[in-house]
Amino acid sequence: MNGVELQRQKYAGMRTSLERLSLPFVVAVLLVLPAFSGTALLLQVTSVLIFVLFACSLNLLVGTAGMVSMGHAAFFAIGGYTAGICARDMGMSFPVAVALGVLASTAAALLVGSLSTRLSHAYFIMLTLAFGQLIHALIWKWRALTGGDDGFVGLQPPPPLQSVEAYYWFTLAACLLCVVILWRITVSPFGVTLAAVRDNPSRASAIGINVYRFRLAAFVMSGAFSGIAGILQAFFSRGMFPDAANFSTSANALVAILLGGSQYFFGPIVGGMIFVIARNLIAEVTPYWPLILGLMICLIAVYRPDGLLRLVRGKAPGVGHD
Amino acid sequence: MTEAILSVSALSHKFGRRTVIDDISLKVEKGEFRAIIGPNGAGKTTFFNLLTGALACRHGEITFRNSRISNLSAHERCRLGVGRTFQISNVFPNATVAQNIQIPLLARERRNWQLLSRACRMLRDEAEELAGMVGLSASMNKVASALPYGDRRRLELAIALAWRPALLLLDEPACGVSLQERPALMNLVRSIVRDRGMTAILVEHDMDIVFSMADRISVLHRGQLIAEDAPERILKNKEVQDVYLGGRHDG
Repeated sequence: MNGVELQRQKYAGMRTSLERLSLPFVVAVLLVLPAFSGTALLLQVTSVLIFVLFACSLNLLVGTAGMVSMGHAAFFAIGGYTAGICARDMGMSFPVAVALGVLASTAAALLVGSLSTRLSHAYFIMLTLAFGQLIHALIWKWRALTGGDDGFVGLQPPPPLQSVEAYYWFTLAACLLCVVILWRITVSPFGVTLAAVRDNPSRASAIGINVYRFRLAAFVMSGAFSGIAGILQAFFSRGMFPDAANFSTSANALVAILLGGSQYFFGPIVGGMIFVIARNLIAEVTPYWPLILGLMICLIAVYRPDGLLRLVRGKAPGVGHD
Repeated sequence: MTEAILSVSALSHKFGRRTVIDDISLKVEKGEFRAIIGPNGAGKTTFFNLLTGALACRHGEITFRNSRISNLSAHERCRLGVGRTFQISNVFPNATVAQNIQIPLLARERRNWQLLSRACRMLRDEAEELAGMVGLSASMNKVASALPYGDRRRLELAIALAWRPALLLLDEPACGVSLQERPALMNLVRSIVRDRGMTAILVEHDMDIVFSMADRISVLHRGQLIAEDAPERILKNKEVQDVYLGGRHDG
């Protein structure tokens, strides 16, 4: 074995150790954070957690299933608004409101998915975008139910979750649970089959796989997890606003996925954190933060099209591995 | 008389206004090794696509094991026992050899809807057995796109065999494989088909392979079935000689 090969193996070993340590390190930091940080940082991290969950749920579709949805914010908003309306206007208990929020986003995903997942890439993108904007317009116009552009305000989480710290713990637990479930789905027989459908649908069909059903199931699951993120957002910000359903919300999650790398399970987690932190930092310096962020994305698209995780993880792994 | 496993009756197909399959009727008996030959553009791959459901069958009828399958989708036909390989190597490029074989095995066992169990160890023994059968034991953890072309053809064969098909459609399995590798690959195909008691339909341009393997040969020309007979009689058929084997060549 020559020197270069030995050096490469040494760095590969270091990289693997770094990877193994990074996840427990991040979780440990999140667990001890409330003991050392103020309210402002906890609020910031809570919003990052919710955004990361939304990006992870979208990546089940984009990364694993290979379908780019431009209207996923609709499910985020449907979950949030439904839970909010159930809790504030109908006086339902928090768990029931949450369950109905998830149910509504799942049902909406089933409806849109059954129409869109049969379509080819460009038509799929257009239909999801159209649906997202339709929901955005509906929220905007249906003032009596949603509050229109004034927003759906005055929503309160149940008393035990009303402090910033308590809601942080609740969001952390919910997000960790959802991310672990999403990871298990990715490495499960379902996830492996989904990646096979993404890579070669004609071959998948010839080996007895119902391509349409797998795509639809991925769409529905992704919509359901987006709904959970929307519900967390609604109770976190004490209300929902029409922008939650806007194209820009979907685009932000897509940018986070591209930043981290769609082929890595941790891509949207890393990308989501970088996106929110970079946005907030740049916004403090200049109001033209989208311009700087856009430039960053262009550079990554040109020089690191596989995402930033490619720098530390090497080439994206095969299906069902991360 | 042996039972027919596959019956095709008055099958036709058009691309736009061009007829590519024109009123084909044929029967394939159980355990038979049938070859389909014909010039380029004769409709051989289209015929395969119609048999497997990759193309919708609008005119004519296909019966497999006494069940009408013309109206079934590709994955439903696979579940009934119709397996295939493709003219151009068609595997899951980002998956390892093991995963490429595990995916159809999971589908066969109806375990690919499991959501929370890990796939990597599932049915691994059977996947290793199939990989060993096609000579890929040493490459189990290699990514399919990194395999040499000949090995990808072997992998494709293993994928097709995972469902234990009763009828195996082989679309130019030696296409792109070096002349040195061809005999070994085709001997492997022949032994697997015989050992497993499968029925096979082979599309192939290499006449040495066709005449050494086939029990019967069907000849297509411009979408029509112009001859069907034992290899030695096909060799002497004047029309077949004219359009394909000897004199005039079309396409």
